[in-house]
Amino acid sequence: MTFEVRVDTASPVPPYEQIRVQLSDLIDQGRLVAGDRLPPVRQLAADLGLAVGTVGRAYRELEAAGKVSSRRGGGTRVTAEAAPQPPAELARLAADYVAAARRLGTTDRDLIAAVQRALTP
Amino acid sequence: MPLLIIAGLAAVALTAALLLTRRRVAVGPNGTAVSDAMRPIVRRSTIMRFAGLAIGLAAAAAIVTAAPPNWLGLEAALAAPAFTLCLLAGVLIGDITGTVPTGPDRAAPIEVRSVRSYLPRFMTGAVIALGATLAVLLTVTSRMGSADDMSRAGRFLTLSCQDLTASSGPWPGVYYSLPIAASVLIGIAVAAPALHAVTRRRRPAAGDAVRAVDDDARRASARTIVAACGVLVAAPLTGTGLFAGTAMIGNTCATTAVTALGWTALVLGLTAFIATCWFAAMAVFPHRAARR
Repeated sequence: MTFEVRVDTASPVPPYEQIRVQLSDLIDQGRLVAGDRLPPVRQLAADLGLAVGTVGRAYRELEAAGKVSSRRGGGTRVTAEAAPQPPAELARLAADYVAAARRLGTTDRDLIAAVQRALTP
Repeated sequence: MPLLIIAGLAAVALTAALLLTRRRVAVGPNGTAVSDAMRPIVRRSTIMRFAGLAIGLAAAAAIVTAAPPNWLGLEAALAAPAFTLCLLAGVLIGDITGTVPTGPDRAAPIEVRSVRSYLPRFMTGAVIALGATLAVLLTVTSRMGSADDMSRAGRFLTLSCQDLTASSGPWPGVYYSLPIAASVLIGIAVAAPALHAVTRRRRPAAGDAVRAVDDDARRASARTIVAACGVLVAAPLTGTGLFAGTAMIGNTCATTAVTALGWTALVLGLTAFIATCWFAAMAVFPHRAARR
């Protein structure tokens, strides 16, 4: 599955910001995972008909946010730190479930099996 | 006369290109949309490829026929690079023109396109192997060559045995090897940006079906470029091998080693001739090569 970046040059939002937001969302949603390589700046700029500096600025801002890292010869890749985190509420509920199940003396295997049964419609 | 040849070849090439593109594009599950998106690209690249081919043939023919007599066969060695450069220019122009996106709403896939992903592996390997062989053979013939009776360096092979000195030629020494090497390097220098242009050309439209057909078109262009490079190295290797082999075998002072080297060069030349024909066919019909 290949994802796309869309840019509306008539929008009041600058093109670099549109690119930055879309790439950031894809990383946050886990669609682009750690190690995934982003298109070269020149290629994406040519594909979108934009200046190289415009795409370069979007990449620089993503790099400053720690979501991607650029390496000479290795291109721009999604960083491990940018991996999507589950929502805090979900993590709290999971911890509560595990704690309650342990109090009942449940093994980890039964604990996971119970979740899988609950997921099956 | 050359103008007439160019016009005739260009007319034939353009007709062939139009006929070929008319029935090539509509593939994929969403045939009509793919065809609409890809037709201008395939048509432009095919027309420019055939135009480059026709002009290249005319340029090669013009060099061979119009060369002054004091070139002493150098024109035959330079005809292949002239043909290759015109063909590469055709592919380059076909892939860099008319690809700028228009309109306010633009889309681009998040993908990394690299030159390597479009290169034909076997053909690229064959070109590298032949290029290395040409470099070795030209180095050997340059070192073995000696001046002719007009003091032109490297035009003859002169060997001595006992009281006899025998010369045979024409010999592919520095008189020929330096222009050949320079023209091959120039051709490779043009091929590299042409391959980058093929890779960097923007996608014509979104969707997996268009992407598959577009990748096929890019592979065809890359195949033409590599095949042109094949002609660039195989054609001079043909001449170098045949002339070096004939001169070594025909020299009355040739030792067993030199004769063996001569036969090796002759076999290399014949192999390179077959390779030249194959590369030329691949350059003209890159889509057919893909289907096999």
